[in-house]
Amino acid sequence: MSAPPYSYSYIFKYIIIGDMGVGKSCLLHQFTEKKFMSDCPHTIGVEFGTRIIEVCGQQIKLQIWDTAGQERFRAVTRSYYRGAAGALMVYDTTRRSTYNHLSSWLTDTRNLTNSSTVIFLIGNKSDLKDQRDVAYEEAKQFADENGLMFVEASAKTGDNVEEAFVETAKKIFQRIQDGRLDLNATESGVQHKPSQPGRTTLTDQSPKNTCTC
Amino acid sequence: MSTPSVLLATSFQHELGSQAEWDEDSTLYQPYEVEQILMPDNANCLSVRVFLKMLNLPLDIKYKTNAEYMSPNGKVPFIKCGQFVIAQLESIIEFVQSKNYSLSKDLNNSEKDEMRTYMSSVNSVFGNAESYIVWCDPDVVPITSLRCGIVYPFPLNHWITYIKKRANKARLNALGWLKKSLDDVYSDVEKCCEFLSDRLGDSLYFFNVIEELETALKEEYENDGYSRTDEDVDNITEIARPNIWQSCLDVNNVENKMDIFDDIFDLPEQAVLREDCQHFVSKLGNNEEDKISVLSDLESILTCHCKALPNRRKYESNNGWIDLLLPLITLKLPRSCMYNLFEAIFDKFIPRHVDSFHLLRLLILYHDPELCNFLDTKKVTPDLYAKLWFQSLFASSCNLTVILSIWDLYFQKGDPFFIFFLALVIIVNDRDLILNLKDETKSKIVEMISLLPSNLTVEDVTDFCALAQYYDSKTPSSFKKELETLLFKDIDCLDKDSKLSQALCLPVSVMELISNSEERNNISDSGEENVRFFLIDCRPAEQYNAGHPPTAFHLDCNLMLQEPNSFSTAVQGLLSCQRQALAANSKAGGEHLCFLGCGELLADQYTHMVVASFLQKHTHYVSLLSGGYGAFHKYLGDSADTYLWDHNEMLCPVCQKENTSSNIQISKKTSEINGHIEKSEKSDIFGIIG
Repeated sequence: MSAPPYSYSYIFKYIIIGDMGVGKSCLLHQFTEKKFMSDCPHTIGVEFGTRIIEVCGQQIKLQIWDTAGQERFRAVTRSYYRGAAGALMVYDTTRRSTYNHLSSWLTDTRNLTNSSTVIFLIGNKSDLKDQRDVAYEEAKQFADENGLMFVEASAKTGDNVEEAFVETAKKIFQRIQDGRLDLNATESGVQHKPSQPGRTTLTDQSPKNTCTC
Repeated sequence: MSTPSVLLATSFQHELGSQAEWDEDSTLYQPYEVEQILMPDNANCLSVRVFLKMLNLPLDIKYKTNAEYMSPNGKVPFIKCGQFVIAQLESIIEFVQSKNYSLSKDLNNSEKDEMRTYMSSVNSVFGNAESYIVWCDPDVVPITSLRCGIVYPFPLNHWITYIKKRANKARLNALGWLKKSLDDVYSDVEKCCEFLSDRLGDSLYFFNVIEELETALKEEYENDGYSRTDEDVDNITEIARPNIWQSCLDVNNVENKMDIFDDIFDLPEQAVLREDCQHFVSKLGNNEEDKISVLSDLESILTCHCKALPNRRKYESNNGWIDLLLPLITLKLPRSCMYNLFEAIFDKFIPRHVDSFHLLRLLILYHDPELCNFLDTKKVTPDLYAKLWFQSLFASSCNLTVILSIWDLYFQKGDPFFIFFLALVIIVNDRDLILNLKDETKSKIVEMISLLPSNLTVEDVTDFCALAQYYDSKTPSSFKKELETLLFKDIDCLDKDSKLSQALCLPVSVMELISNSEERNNISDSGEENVRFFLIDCRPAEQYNAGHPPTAFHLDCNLMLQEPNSFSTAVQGLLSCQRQALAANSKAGGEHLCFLGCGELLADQYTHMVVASFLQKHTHYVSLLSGGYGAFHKYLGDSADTYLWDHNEMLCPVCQKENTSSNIQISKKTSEINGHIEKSEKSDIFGIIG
């Protein structure tokens, strides 16, 4: 599909969460700028990035909220969970403590988002192989038990970063098509581009079952 | 001192019989203390202030660059009381006496005579010595010339200095002082000090009331920039210090609180306490006999301190208590007085809540966001380096002479929050040094910062405190009111975490914002610059249009998400608006940015993001209105409709909420989902993330 660069049909809202220093901002930066920030300052409150991707033939604008991992900003960051269509939950494969905190992050996410929010677990810093502190199998099992999607990635090399963001979008899109995600609900985290007509266009524009994802 | 002024006062006396009351709006005019005033003038101003303060007469102090030219006889200070303008101490005393206020009415005649003798000898010796040092000591004359001329343009500054110098030298010459050498002058002062010290003997006061003399001398010493040039005044400071501290801390008439102590040393941590005291005393340079008495004092006081509360405080090594006692030991007071002082300092000045560190962080963020961000990135939090500073009121981190001098100023100031600004100045002062530690480890940075106060010298103290005062005046102050109980009073909530730890930036209360903008309506010509806010309303446009504070500018936060480019244009426009408002000295202008949201955590997520983006750009002076528009509206109550601009009750979200009951159900539903968020919103101003 040859859509002009700044036209898109949907906006998906994502949040990125996880302990301080796991590389949330670096993942976002790698995804939006395709660059690694080696000297990344700590995030104040919340930052924000966007990128348009193509999923199943649709241009989708991702609106990504990058939150501060510090406990001090929890109250601020909690308000950003609502209305997120996707949540990327990040831990650091070289620091077990960040993995151990996942259940508390997951509880927060489940409590503060709606049931259709797609949660994706990312084990960051996979390039630091000799410092590994959390085994892939262990995290995979945790993800399966909790019904999360999972991948190990590296914001430094860019490995699997694109995949994590795009797979999440595909899953959300699939849920829209299945009807599991109600676009009219205010907190679905998905909106049509304002200029486009309402929900009906979805059925018009995207022929059923042609999606390859 | 000069005859005419006394005559003036006497002539007043006849007129004053009818008007017996002291005018509540009296004002004292004097030159600027930090930049301008000379030592002899400063001494005169302080004695008038101390005198009136001791009589509990209310007084406003106005600093004027041209105070001496406003004065009826060319001398400072002068007071304006009702329709009278009176200059200089003697005339003022006469004037006040005519209204039946007197400090010496309880003294008998011989005591009065004695006091007059002392005062005149002090006046002649110290007054002339001050004059001599200011105008004849080659080391000091350049400073004098600078201060004397600082408020005048070239060449007037040189001219004024020249005239004054000539007049003063002529006077000193006539009195025979000009022939003296600097050493002669010092020895005169020393003799006078001995004379006073002999008179004082072992008693606490020269006379049975707190004698103004020593206090005046003391303040004079503390407040002038020349203290180091006149080392003999140190003696007076040392003589007076125990009394000054006791008066400032209000423990003069306190009964001996150590009575309750049963002299049983049976704390669970007694062994540790004893060992620490011994270790500490062994480092002191005293002789053996002294050491034993100091050791016994230390252990008794600390044990008593632990037992003083029913639920008992616990001593821990390095909790600052012993450090806090060291400056008190040098006063050589009886044990019970030392204990009372210790308790008073501990109660009044030592922040005990973990939030004190969060507050320090917010203050750093307010004044130097870049530095704060750097420290956050390095995970260097204030509790790591400032804990001992706070626990011991800097006593553990500075050398003894420095701490004595800081405490002299501190207790007179009496503001428990001053320690935060001292800490702030220490950190901000060495910001470049700290920012250069980019590649150092966290522990190295913590160590470096915690040692910063040890670089202070006695010469730095006045500047150091003046700087802290400056930062204090450049900071919104509503946090003090909100936090005083939490940080300094309420012992029971030691572990309770307020929402301060979660604040995005410094919170400002609605009351401060409103009273601040009202004060500006009747801008005083005092030149005292307080915090001026530039209010930025971040709510959606339709809400802004349905009512907003009169001085608020609108910034559409949704733009940030939807059209980042238009957003940055909007921000640029806003900032240039701010510059224009400032330049025009408009009521809406101010260099302190205060952001205003709706006052509800969920609705304010864009506001918070905008605030965060300003902080990320290292914008300083960023604050958030606690409770947002909701709190503002509520504070105004019935006058909301007249005070707010463009207010439309049909559209204003706050008015609508009050009217519609269906909204309550929605908010109930929200509270079920976000119970903890809702709860935090109610608690206090910091609940709504400030």
